[in-house]
Amino acid sequence: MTERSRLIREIAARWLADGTVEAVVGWEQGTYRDKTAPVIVRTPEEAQRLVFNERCTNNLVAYLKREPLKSMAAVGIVAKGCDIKSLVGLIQESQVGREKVKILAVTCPGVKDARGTVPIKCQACEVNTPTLFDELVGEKIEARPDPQARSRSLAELEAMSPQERFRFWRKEFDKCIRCYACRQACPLCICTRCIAEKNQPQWIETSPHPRGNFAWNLIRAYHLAGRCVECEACEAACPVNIPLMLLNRTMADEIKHLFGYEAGKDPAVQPPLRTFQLDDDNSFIL
Amino acid sequence: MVEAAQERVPATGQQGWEPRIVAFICNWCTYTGADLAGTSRLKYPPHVRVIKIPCTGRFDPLFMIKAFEKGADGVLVSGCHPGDCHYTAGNYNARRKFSVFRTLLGWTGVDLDRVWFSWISAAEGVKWVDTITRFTEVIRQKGPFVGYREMMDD
Amino acid sequence: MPYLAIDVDDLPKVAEELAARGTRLVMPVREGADVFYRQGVTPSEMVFSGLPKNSIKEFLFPKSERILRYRYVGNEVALEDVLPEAEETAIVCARPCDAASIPVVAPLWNWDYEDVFFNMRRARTIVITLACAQAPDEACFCTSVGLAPHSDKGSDVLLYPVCEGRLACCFLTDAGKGLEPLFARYKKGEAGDDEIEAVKRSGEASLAHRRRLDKVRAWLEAHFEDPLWEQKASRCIGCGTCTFVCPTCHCFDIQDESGFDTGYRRKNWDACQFSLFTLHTSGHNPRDTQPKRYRQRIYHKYAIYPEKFGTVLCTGCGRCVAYCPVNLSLYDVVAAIQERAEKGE
Repeated sequence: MTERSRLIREIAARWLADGTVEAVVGWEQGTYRDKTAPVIVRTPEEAQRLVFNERCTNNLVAYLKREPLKSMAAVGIVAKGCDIKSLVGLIQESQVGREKVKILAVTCPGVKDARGTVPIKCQACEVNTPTLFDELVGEKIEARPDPQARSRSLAELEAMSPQERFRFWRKEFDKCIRCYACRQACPLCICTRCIAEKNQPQWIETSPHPRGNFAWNLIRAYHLAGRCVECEACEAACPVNIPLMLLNRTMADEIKHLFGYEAGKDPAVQPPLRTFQLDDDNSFIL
Repeated sequence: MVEAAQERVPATGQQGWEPRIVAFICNWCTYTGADLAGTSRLKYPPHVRVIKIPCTGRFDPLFMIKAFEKGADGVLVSGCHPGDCHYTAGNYNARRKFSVFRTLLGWTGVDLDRVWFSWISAAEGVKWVDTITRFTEVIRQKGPFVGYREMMDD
Repeated sequence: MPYLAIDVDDLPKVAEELAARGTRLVMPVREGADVFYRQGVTPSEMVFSGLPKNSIKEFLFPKSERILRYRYVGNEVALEDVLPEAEETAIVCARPCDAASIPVVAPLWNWDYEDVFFNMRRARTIVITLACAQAPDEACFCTSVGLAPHSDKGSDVLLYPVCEGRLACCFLTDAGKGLEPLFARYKKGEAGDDEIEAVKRSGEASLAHRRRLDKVRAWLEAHFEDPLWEQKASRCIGCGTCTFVCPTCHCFDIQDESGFDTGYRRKNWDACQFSLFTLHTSGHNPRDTQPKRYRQRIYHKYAIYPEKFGTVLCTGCGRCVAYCPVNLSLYDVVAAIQERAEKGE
């Protein structure tokens, strides 16, 4: 057992024993290949199931928006730097109080997905050693982001004409089966009733035909613009391999370009679509 | 809408197709400006379908998506000039939404020439006429929005 | 009894001949790092190993289809049936767990209503199955639900991958026997019972999960309020992945989509894992928490469906295990239930 796993168990057990938190959400060893699985532990004994390794890919912040953690007064969460960025987003939007969440942060050299590939977020990671936490586990890791990792993934689409891009996305969105794994896995998709679940009126057609899928995927990307921290939970969850991060990454780049804002950094800053400047870009408006 | 639309609006290049423009315009400025164009008896192409919203701050990208789904070839969103919003800052909030959604549309391959934004005041009847005339002509040159038309028959 | 044998490399040629007759082909092909069943692909792209990420369900029960059209004609409304464009289809290189799903769900589609959409497609679909000499995935558990890597349920033709790159062909149904002359054109000798038996043995031995699940139903019927559901299903995030990748899940939602003067009624895939699945218009939701929804999934598959139709609603393909974003393994849950049942708990 690694040192990180041992310390995580110790701290979680302590928090549960002394009543600091009602439950801790972390990862335990999974049962399919080398996967880990999210687990909610409520006693020091159960806390001995917790692990940390390079297959701890799930973003556990997604559990804060749903029961049983939602109505608890205090919860612990084992979290990597990228996960904590999404928590910052929730704090900014007053969805979760900082004081409710005890962050058991872990330094992370990067994870591997189901195919053994290193995700682009890890290649570009600047938060290997988290800075927002209640306890930090693991030796400090120097961030060594590959500055081209993100832009390399966007190059192919960038080079396409509008017609080529439309054909590309039409082909990808046609695959969508509207399982909403993207939405459910996302820590920032928090609406009690999603726009796709509203029918008075029905703005987003629920049918998984190309037209309905275009509307769904477009609106989800828009609702995440300026909020998505690129944890890649959506793309990892998608059972039909839609490259969702190509949308989210490009929107994050544009938000940075337009408003100088990066999601998940500072809980005190207003998200960009909640505010405005008098000299915002007006160049495209007649 | 499906077969009926295709009966009435043939594909590009065929006789009989006319541009369909939807304009989401704010009640206080652009709508009043359009009224002024009307009372001044200024002439402009009749292809635009006007949908009045209280303020551009009410605009939601869903409106634009729905317009394209229902057969619009071009969508215009227009409101008060920055600083003149009847609700003080609605158009400032809208402006950020416009930038962000416009980028997303461009990234997914929607021709941005089909998506126009403008500030047209209550006094600018002439600007309304000018904008609609130019937009209609641009869309006429581009033809129907084939990408969305292909998805209409689902 | 000797079986007709062909080279595995000649199977795409058989498929090509079927395509030349106008038959729509559905085959497993590689897409990126995964395999998917796709229609309209060239036979040379056929892949013989791996479990496709999707099942063959979508070719008999598409994710979305029109079932009715309405049009305003003057002051009247004209209703017209919309029947499926059910072409002659050959699913080539189906996996046994996928083929077996067809007879499992067919009674459902013909229970209180004869579903013309499923029936028309089924009537025009021929299934040519490739038996598994090796379980394609660690998640497979077909023998636990009474099937096998060489199961012939639902297949018209079953091909056994015997040694030296050959396939031993079993023509099972009338439709399957109708294909025998086509396969015979590519005959490369014969294969014996012993070679078939070797494939069966190696397939069964290669399964990672083999627990028999014969006590699950009785346990379920006695333990509806058990704390197991909270314990096991708290990690469920309530997406529809397991439901939609499952070859036997069949819930659907009816949606009306209207234009100006024409509209369609549609049948779309739905999932009992969605939070709104049982939300009543009164606002009451009898399955208002995720563990309750997950419980329902297990009950439907392992208790209710067997009670109604005599078979579990599962072919052990393992996709729900492999593709659940949070590794909530249905096999783990039912195996745990089996264990408790065996211990009398």
